[in-house]
Amino acid sequence: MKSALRALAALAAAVAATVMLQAMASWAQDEVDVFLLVVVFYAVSGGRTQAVTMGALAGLTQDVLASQFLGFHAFTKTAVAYLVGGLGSRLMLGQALPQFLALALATILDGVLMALLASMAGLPPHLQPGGLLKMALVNGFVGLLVYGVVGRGLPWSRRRP
Amino acid sequence: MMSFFSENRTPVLVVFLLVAFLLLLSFQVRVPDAGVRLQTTLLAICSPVARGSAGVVDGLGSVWRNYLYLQDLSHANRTLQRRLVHLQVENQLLREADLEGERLRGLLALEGQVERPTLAARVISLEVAGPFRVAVLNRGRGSGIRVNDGVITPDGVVGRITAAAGGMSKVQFITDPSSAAAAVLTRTRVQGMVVGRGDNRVEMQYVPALADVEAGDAVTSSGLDGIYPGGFMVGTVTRVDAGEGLQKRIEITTAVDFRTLEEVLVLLAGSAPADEHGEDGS
Repeated sequence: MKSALRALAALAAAVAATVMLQAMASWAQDEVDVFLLVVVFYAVSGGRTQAVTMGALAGLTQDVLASQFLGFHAFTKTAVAYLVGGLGSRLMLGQALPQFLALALATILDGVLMALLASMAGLPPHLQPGGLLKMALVNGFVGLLVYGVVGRGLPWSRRRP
Repeated sequence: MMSFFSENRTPVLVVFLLVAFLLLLSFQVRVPDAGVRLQTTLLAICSPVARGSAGVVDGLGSVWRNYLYLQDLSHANRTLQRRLVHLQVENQLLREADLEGERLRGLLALEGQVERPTLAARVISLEVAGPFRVAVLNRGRGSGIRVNDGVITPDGVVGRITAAAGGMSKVQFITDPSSAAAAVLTRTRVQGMVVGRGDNRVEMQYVPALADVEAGDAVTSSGLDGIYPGGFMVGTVTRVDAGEGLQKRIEITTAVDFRTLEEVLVLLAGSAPADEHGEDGS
């Protein structure tokens, strides 16, 4: 119950952050994927099942705000949560550098999966490697900052093996 | 069998979810009305948080402006250096307020030109980087907005409403790859269909290869699609190529800069809005 409420709070915070980002720094909205930060946070700090559930919910919420069809972000975020969660259960992601790399990798994975899905749906290609790399770096840095603030005192070391 | 599922709970869940999302996508393509209903329901669930956040941002802005004003009064004797810093910040805020006023005046002027009832709305979320080009507005069905209502700004055509919940609605930009709008080249009156490309440009299709089209020609809405009234600026022709078969390939740069979109005007097709002046008084 407590973890479900925490997940809902995280989703609400992601929606609020997206709206606030649009109002206060719209230039940053292309570069920072707030929902991805939430998903990776769960993937590296919680259990894998929890991360996958959060990936699906966060993706669906993002679809509501930023997609013409429901399911695009939900698909990519679920896959990213599973893959990064798998990485988290094999590697120590408690330190800044591994977290940064996990965030950057998750951004690239999300972008590539989205491009594949869009191409399967017959949508024109939109993936620009330079842009994706920039987004990966920005998400990495912003994610570290956010995790530093939000995750202070979180039990990284208690991550499930 | 049961032990397999309990041992592989997460992979099974992932496969189930991925397949479910693929089916959901396919379902929305096959049954668009159901897709719209689903989107509307989820939009309504997200609405309180999104609208609340937008309200918080407005409130913070107001508090910040008041704070600066009071700071000016109570610290009138500060050194010139410190006062200069405050005045510079205040100047920036006033410049921003002036720009906002200018945009709103533009919207009001535009409202007078359109015969249909209109409603001003603010963009609270914007997506112009991924495969889709959409925005979420702070007004919805409660304000009279319906699916397929056109959305414009003083610069030109923005798009159409694709989902409308009680307090929020979603706009599909004309640059979205699944968007299409009837348009006309103003110089030669050649008609065509403006289709989104997924980047920040659009393409005009169904224009005969022999039609007179030049780079720099203005393209406006023709009104034939019943969504956008005729005569609103869509963009300017930036490239003309010989397309496939008997048609030209025309690239258009849109008149609206979608990245900096803040306020828009929704062309209400249905009944008059219930709360025309809305909670934020716009």
